[in-house]
Amino acid sequence: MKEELINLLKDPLFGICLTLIAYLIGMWIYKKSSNFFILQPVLIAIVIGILVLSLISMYTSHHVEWVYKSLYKPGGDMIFWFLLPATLSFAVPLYKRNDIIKKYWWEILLSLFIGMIISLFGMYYIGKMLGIDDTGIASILPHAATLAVAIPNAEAINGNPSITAVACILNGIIVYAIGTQLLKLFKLKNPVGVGLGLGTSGTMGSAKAAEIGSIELATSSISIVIISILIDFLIPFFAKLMNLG
Amino acid sequence: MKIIKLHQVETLASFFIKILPFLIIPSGIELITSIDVLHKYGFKLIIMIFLSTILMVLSVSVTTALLIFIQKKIKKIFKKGDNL
Repeated sequence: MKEELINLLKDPLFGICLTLIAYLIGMWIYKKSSNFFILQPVLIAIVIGILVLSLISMYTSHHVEWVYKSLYKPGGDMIFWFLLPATLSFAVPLYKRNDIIKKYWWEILLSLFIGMIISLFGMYYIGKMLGIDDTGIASILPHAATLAVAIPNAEAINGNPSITAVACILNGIIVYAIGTQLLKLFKLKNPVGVGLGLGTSGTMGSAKAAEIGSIELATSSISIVIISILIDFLIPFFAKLMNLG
Repeated sequence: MKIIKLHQVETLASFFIKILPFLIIPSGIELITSIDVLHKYGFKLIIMIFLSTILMVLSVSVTTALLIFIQKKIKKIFKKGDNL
């Protein structure tokens, strides 16, 4: 019975269906809760997906990692593949509003640079206050960059790449879930500033910006790129300054 | 030289941006493989990620708004100077 189930679930269709059904349930719950912001469909879908995989792992007495890699990943990767053209899609809104970038390029560069430095110090002291060791802090520092840039940077300062991956993914989900409330709470209205800020959370932040406006979307797209470059330059200096790694 | 016209890619691009949250789900489910690490650090790691994320968004956003505000003020002062 267990073998049969495993053979059945080994089909890539399982991963695709699980993702799709989990997302649909997420959307249903979100609507039922009359759009309560914490109950984002994406967040619910991820929780449901993890629960289902854990249940399968318990039932078949295989390790969770095995269940993820051999049952979910084949289908999950097919969905994940589309993330690449989706990321590339941000070039279009950027091109459409390049007037904003041309007008504010100096402010964009400078504020990303200053904001990044403030955040690096902030993150370091938040980590120290919470009693997280240097490895943990070093893994989280580069989390605003895209995963591909963040991981080698974290490794270079003796961080743990799997914590960096967790931070990068959670970062996007957090901003997507509470972005609107956060902007409202702090009364942030400047479209360039809002876009740049949301862009520090990568593509999910930009997806949020897309819901707000075209200037926000364009500046968040440019923010993703510049933040990754800035992290590549700033992290080694900051790590030396703070004796990390 | 414009090889690709905007209208050729516009619809597909905005479609992809709309469904992006859905495409991110597999990466989220991948977190299941990091549960051991999360166990080791416990809840404070999640708190740090949460605070860092908010700090990053706010610091960049506020700095930009402030810079643009200061610049506008400076421009105004210069304009007033011209009138004198």
